[in-house]
Amino acid sequence: MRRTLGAAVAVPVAVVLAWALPGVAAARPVWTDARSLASPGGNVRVHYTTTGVDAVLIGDLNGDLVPDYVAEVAAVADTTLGNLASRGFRAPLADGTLGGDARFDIYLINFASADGHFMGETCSGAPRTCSGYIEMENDLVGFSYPTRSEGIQVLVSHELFHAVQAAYPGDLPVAWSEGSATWNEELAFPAQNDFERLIPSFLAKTARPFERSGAGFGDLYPYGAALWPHFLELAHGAGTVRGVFELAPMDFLDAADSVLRGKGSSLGVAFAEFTRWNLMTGERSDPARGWPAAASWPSVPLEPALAGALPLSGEVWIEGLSARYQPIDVEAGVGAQRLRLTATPGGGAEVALGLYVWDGRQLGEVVEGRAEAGGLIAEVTPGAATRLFAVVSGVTRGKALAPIALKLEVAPATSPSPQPGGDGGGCAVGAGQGGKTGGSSAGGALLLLVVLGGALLRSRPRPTVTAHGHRPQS
Amino acid sequence: MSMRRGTTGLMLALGVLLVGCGGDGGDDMVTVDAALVTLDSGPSCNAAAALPANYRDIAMVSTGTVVTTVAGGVTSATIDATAGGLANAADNPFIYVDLATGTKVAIHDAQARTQSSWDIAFKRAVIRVNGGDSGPGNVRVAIVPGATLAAVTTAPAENIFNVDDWTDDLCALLSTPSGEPLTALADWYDYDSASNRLTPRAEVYVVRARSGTLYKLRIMTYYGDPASSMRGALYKVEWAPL
Repeated sequence: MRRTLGAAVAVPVAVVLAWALPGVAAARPVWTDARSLASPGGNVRVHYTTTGVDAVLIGDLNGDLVPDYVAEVAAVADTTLGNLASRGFRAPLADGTLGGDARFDIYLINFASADGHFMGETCSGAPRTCSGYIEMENDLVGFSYPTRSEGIQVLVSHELFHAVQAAYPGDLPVAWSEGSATWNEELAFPAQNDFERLIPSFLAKTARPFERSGAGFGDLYPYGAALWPHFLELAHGAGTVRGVFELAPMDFLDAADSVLRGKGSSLGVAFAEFTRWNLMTGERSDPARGWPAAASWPSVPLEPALAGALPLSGEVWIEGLSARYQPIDVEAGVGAQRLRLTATPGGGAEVALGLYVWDGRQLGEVVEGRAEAGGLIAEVTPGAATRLFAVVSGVTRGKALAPIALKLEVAPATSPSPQPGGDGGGCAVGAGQGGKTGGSSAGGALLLLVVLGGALLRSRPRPTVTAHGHRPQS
Repeated sequence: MSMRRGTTGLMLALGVLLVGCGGDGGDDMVTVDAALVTLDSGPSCNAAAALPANYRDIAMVSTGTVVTTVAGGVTSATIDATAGGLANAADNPFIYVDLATGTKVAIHDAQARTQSSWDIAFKRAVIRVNGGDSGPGNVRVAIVPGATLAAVTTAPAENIFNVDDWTDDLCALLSTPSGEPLTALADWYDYDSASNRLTPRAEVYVVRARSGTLYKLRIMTYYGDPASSMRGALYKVEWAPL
């Protein structure tokens, strides 16, 4: 489902259900002046009325007796479905003759607080699949899309992807249902900027465990989670996201792990790589190694910098699949020496450590933490640079919030000198990075350090917490 | 962990001597011999991991404030539990309060699980006390009908005190119909779906603080911002030793 917004609101602000289910929603709209248009491509029937509260914009510049708004919705739907088919996704399930024929139905209605949703109507199987229809805004008057055409593109491509999701069995966590629907907007209509408007909501909350991504009212994180499928396709090849859906009803992260292993990677490796791409945003953007166009994106949140004379010590906290970004400022002249950063996980945390030198213009190659008895160790010789960035990435789902102690000191004279991007000789988990179409900052294998017996560690599996809906909020 | 629902698990015998009530009210000394608490979810259950995502532990000290005044033995507090507002609450922590001093305790959620420095905590509409699944302080709550603190003059029977308990035998979440963790004070409000407003019930909560002192506590309003009657989670609370 799309979001609530008002005319004065620059960014839509309310997150509701991904898509509504039978019994939750009202029946299809019924109008005394019901009209419809079959799309030129034959995929969709757009239902509308020209009277009453749901009346569409009646402008008809081409004089074909069909409101241009309706015709544009139909054309955009054809384009979207053609695009989805070309990418190998299933078509929305057919609804028989509901709506008058077998075409997928879109109803244009006057929304009070949102601007569109897919309504699951007829479901079968367990886990279920559903056919249904879309209801979307009848005129977009008072909404904040830069143009009406962009609003139509965003809504139709987003909601049709929910219809596609319903053709795969099982229910989806909100970050995957909304994130992938928002990602589809970008794939279907790259020129629209809804994707770009939403991803800051994800980048601002990188400490949130991705597997527990349920959101509060008005929290756009699930939509900004479009970054994850965007990453999967850029870093691991077109079709990766479809591969995840084809494994439904498998949990989307389990499915991603399976697909990634088929490409020589794994969920843990890829998630660490993803978190490092996210460091390369804003002034640290580097299209050669990460997001192709992240210079205009906001930076991820940085921890308060560790600064001063060596040794420097600090602490970050990690839960599940998440990341912390730790700047470290060393005094001028110190960088001539080889410096060692040690990350010591507590409480059963499983993390990866990536260390970068920042010269004020560009990030150096990542140095992967290698596992040693005292923790993950990464070493660099910064030279004239005085700022380092440590990316501490949680790489295992369900791990409780736990502290990671950080210490930067001059490396012992006998310490090895791992090459940037190499695995440093530690215990490798996962595999190489086969199948990528884009560059990789993660380089070699991911290193994990597991410290057991922490106070927060428990012996039984954590229960699944679904995040698919929201209580009325106050 | 449960007293209300649990049937298995570790039985703890707690011998608690409540050593009186400070303040100006000249309140009665209360002594409690012992209490049995049944931990059905076992000592290895990490209750934090069972919390809904919006209430998971956050490793950050709340930026909210606790502002108190004391008059006639009654502490009146405004507690900012807005947690960054609705859109940001999932990434902001509870605010922790020491009832004896009427002050904010500057700890984060993970620290609160192992520390006895706090009695009660607030985040949006959820209230926790430092006992059971919430922490090691053995703080417990009894719910007593009454519209004012003055209406409560005697300690409730021991068997109506509850600890926070939002996990079952398998360490799975026990929640309210709205998905919030089922804490001892989970039912403190009535919800009006038409206005989206929370109204405190006409109840007084007798809190046995971690010190053993009994406090009677009342939630005056969830909307304590005089500049915005719709801004939720700015509690006005009053309490006094019992």
